[in-house]
Amino acid sequence: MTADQAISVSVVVPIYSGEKYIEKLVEELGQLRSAWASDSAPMQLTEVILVDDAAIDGSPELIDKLSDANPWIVTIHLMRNFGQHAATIAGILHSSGDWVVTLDEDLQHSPAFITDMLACVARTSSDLVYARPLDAVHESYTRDLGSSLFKRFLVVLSGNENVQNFSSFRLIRGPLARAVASVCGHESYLDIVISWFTQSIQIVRTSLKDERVIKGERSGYSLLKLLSHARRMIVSSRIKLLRIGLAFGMLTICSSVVGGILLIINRLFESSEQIVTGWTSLALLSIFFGGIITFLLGIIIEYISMLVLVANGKPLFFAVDRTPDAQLRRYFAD
Amino acid sequence: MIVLRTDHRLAEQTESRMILLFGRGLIGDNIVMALQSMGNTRSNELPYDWQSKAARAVCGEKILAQLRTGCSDVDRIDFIWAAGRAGFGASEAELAPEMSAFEDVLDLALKSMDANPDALHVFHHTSSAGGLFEGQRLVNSDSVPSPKRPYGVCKLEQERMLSRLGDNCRTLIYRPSSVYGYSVRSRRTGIISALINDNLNRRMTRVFGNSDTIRDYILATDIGRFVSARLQTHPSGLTTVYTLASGKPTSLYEVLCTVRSVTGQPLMLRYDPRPNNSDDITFDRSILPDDWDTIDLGTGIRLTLLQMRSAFAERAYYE
Repeated sequence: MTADQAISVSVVVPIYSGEKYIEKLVEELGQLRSAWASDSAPMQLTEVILVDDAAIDGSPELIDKLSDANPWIVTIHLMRNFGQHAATIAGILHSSGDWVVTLDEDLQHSPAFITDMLACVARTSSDLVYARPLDAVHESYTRDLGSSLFKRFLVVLSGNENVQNFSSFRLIRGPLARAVASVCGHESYLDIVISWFTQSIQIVRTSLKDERVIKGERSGYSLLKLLSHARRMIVSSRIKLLRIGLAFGMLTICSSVVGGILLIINRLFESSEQIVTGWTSLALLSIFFGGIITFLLGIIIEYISMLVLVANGKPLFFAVDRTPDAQLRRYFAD
Repeated sequence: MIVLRTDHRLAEQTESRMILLFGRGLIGDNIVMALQSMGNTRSNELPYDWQSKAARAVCGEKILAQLRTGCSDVDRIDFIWAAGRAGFGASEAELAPEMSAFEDVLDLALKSMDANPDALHVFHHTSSAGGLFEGQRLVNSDSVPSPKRPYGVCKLEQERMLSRLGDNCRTLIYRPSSVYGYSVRSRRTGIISALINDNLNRRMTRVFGNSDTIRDYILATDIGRFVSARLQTHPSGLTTVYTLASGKPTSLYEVLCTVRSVTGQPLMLRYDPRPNNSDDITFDRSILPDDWDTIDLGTGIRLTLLQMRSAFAERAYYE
């Protein structure tokens, strides 16, 4: 792609129970498309990819109808329900845009905000922009607090600061999105895999409200599915806990060695009555060998996690061409 | 080239047909296999020289003689051009023999129409969607072919030359996107076939382009099936153009991951920036034929791998 070619934007929307919202969403995307065209913006919304993840309402027929009426809408029907991440990945793998936007079906993510996300790219030349909420998303204290605490816990566990910024409203550089989608497997967490490729990540704040939860409707995601998300996030990450286990094992060995030396000194230079003969030695030996076992297990798990990451497609390197960002800089500077 | 005779039942009648296929490479071979799998097909291979015009003239006379004597009862004669040894990066000089051969095949078709005026003549021409629309994304019915290299210019010129056949010959133009697959006779190798073949032989593959280049890949078997289906029906218009693509843009990175996963072995790659072959070429689903069906990339790569492994085993057995 040359620096002067139009910047194409693909939008990917996984659909599960969005019958009430899809038409309005497509209308807003159409308005954005027209606005960019009338503003002579360098970017073009070339395609909207609606991925039917075995939707539980009338969404499949509705998106086919919308696709027939709008040539820039592409529909993909998955054979069964594979989950939001899998549906998003399927959509990304069918995209051809220079930038890929992923957003939810339920109007929680306003398409108009995509322009602001592109403005962020213009300022920072980042490869990924997350849209984060200005305030509480669900207007439910327990749910929002739970979500926040859980993400902080995962930051500690995974050592990945970006975990707390993860959001399904993303703007991703096209080649990056497709490369990431190519390596994602059954247990991969999309945003963790993105972090394997780039660290150039920005956040922009906007009002994001989950109207379905606020109004008391089903969000489409049960507690079980949320836990499944968490499990995949943990499995995709290189867990700090493994390192903690290794360190603990090493510390135990050292403690037992130091304890053994102190015991010998005590026996040689100080006479003291022992209540139970051999207890201390036995305890120290147990701690010593327990430490060795813990340490060796840590090493084995470290190797396994390395092999898993390689098998999951963690790249050695990935090249990027950011020259087309110049067009965005010129446009947003004006 | 190969000449096939077949009797086809159309409505209440049985139609006798002769098919002359020029170019038994990846696409040509798959068309022949698709036709032969339908049964009731007799074939005869005839020599056709691709380098010497004089030798081609002699071959042409023999073919014409067969058309004059053996076609008195033939209801339909199909010419299929599936040749093209020169690749995407070919120069004008390398493409010149192909253009010369193509002109001779067109002349042969015209002579056949003179010799058999009662038979329906159909010319099937294999062009190249990639060559015509290089650098364009989401190619649709409004897109205009604008080739960037001699290969694409040659293909566009061949399409224009088909008008010489006049109104007495129906023309079907096939524009396949990036084709992959396996054929014993194929001399040109696309990136996917090259990756699999090199991977099996533990060789390094040269990649001309970037890993984020997006193309549209289709299996040669699908083309063979589609063209053989065209041979079973009468074309409705004088000239029909078919864009044969999958409608799914695929990055080279995705191809590399899939090949790696299917072969179970790491790939040895060398990226070469020159000659540049990194332009994106993708197609909108709206321009694909209604009855066109494609195998997904993962399955297609597995099939190609299976065919290559069988060919290696067979070669090893006989050596």
